[in-house]
Amino acid sequence: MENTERQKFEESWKEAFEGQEMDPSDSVWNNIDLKLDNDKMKRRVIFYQRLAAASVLFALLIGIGGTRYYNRNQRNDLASATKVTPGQEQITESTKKKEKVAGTAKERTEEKSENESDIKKLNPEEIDSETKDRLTASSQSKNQQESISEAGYESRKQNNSAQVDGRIDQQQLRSSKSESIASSSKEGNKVLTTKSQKASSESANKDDYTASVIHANQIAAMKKEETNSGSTQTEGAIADPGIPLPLLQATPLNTHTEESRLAQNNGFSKMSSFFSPQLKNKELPKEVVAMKEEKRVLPEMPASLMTTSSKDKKTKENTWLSFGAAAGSYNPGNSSSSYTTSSSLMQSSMAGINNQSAPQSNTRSSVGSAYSVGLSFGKKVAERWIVQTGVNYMNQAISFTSNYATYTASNDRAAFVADYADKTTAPLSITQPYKVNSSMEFVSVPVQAGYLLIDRKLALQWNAGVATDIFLRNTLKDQSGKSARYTQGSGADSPYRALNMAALTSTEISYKMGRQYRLSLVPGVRYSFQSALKSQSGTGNPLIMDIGFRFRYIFE
Amino acid sequence: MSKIHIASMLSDQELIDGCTRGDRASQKALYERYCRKMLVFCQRYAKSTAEAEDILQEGFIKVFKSIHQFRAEARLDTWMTRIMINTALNSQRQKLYMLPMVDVTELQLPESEEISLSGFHLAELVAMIQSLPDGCRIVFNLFAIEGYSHKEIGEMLEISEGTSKSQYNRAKVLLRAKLGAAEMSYGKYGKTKI
Repeated sequence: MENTERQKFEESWKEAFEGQEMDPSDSVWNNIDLKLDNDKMKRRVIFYQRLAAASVLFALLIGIGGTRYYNRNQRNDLASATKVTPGQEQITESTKKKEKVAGTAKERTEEKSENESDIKKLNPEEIDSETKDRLTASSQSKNQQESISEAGYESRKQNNSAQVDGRIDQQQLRSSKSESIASSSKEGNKVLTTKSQKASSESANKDDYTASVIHANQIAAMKKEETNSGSTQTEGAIADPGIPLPLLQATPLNTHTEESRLAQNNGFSKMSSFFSPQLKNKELPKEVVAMKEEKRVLPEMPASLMTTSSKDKKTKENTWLSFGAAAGSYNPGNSSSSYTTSSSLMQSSMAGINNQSAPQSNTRSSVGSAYSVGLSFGKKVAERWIVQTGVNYMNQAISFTSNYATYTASNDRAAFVADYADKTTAPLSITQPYKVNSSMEFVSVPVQAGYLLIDRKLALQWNAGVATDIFLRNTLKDQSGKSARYTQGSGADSPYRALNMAALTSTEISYKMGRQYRLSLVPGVRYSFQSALKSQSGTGNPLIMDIGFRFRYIFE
Repeated sequence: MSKIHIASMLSDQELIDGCTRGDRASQKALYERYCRKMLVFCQRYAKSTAEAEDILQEGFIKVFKSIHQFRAEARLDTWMTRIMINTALNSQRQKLYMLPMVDVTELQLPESEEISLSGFHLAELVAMIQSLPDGCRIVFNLFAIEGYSHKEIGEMLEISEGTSKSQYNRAKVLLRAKLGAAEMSYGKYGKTKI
């Protein structure tokens, strides 16, 4: 029974609501429409924000990369300049090594000379006995020849190793060679002398004869060996397969190596100054300067880089005039809407107004749009520093819902917002909510300093500065067209500040076209120090994120 | 003929296609077609007309954002109703947490009595429901009008089945009292017979 009654109760209510309809107020669709617009705008804003963020990130990466590249070039250049001194030390060390080699050869020569003197000291009586020992002496001299040839080979080998170092002193090398060769020839002559002594045992003055023959043979041998020394040396070098072909040039190669290294330094210096102009005037160490002055060589660099330097071209880009435009998102920065009808304001403004509609809590879109166009003038004040100023027309637009209206002198209904309520004596009324477009117009005078992170054909520049914004007017427009436009200018009675200050920062990626034009892409941020409305000091500051372009004409 | 007027003559499916493309005229036409019906649902769950319009507004934005998920095999108005109810429940959920529903067992159901609501205006019935406490109002709507069981309601609102039952009983008692009061009042003026 109870269950049946219960079902009846439910059915009664269900039936009572079936197919029923109620009319919502117009504001519901207006708000839906506005919110859908906002979502669309938010998506656009997100796109702009991401684009701006990506541009700034790209600029930062390029800047960091460029700076690191510049620093690395600078370090490399300094390192290559300072490397010369240890190189010279190596040369000295290798020369010492050669001296040692020569010394060893000398020692050996001296040993042989002692042998010679031993021969010289031989008595005539001993000659006969020597004749007896001819075969023995002959075999000994052969051994000596072998040892001498070994010494010569060692000397050549050492010379070749010195060539591998590429830093041996030519004259010392030659003298050591000559000495070793002389010693070997002496040894050879000594054998001959011994043989000739034995052959001419009848000669009375054997010592003199032997001495004169030795002397003559020494001179002849020296001449012969001197003429052969180059070929011997070369043969030794060729014979050694471990030596690279370019090192076959002995001492001249060493000189050439130093020269070419200087030339490379020279070329690198130019190259590095091409990338980093500061290096151009950098003083090289004294050793390098001294070596550089000894031999003047052409720098090993492309001819294209030896023509007009890029710096000469850049110096021409000193002053310019540019036309620019930018568009982006505008965030008023106030959580509480400036256009919302506050209760106190409503009460005061509603006094005497007989309207049953309650003031609606207006929904203002959180973001609007902003655009600007203008001219600017730029000047390079230092190698990488520039200053820019100009004049821009700026428009900041935003949509919101209002349920206020006023009436013009001709009794036409005009769009109105709560912010103006205490600034007008015009009759006000509360209306059905309607969408209002508010656009604020300014003339802005920016002053910015810029730093050229990359100063090339494709340039990257970071700008920062301040702007003085002169308020022109605010225009309210009813989107439905039912109300007339309402315009509010500046002045003491205006709810708007006549002057505003804003901080600006932007990155400018530009490309030079021809000699006198440059096209730039400029993502930037503008942060106002205070709200445009006088009544909203300290409640939040407007923020604009935009992306623009600039077309620059460069004065020659 | 305006674009919106043309859109108003389109079928539901054509409007859905237009809304999927983000066409504002189609969106407005869809809104115009269903907003009145949906507002009744919202009114029952809200505490006031303004709150009901807020739910309606929020619900339609959800409808437009998720219209691409709608499948043709379902009825559009049923799908929209579900979105509206969910939106309403979400808007009321915070209140439910702040004022947790408790079992109201002490209330006794009145004696069986046949009721008739045919003599009441819709606005009067809505006003009666809106005057119910938050918990009672929601459970009453879900049980009596939408047809959910107490178990389902318990799961939806994260309350026990018993709580749902007790809240419903309380709603019923309160509504009976309101109907009785109205009967007396209307009987006096001869407007409505219950």
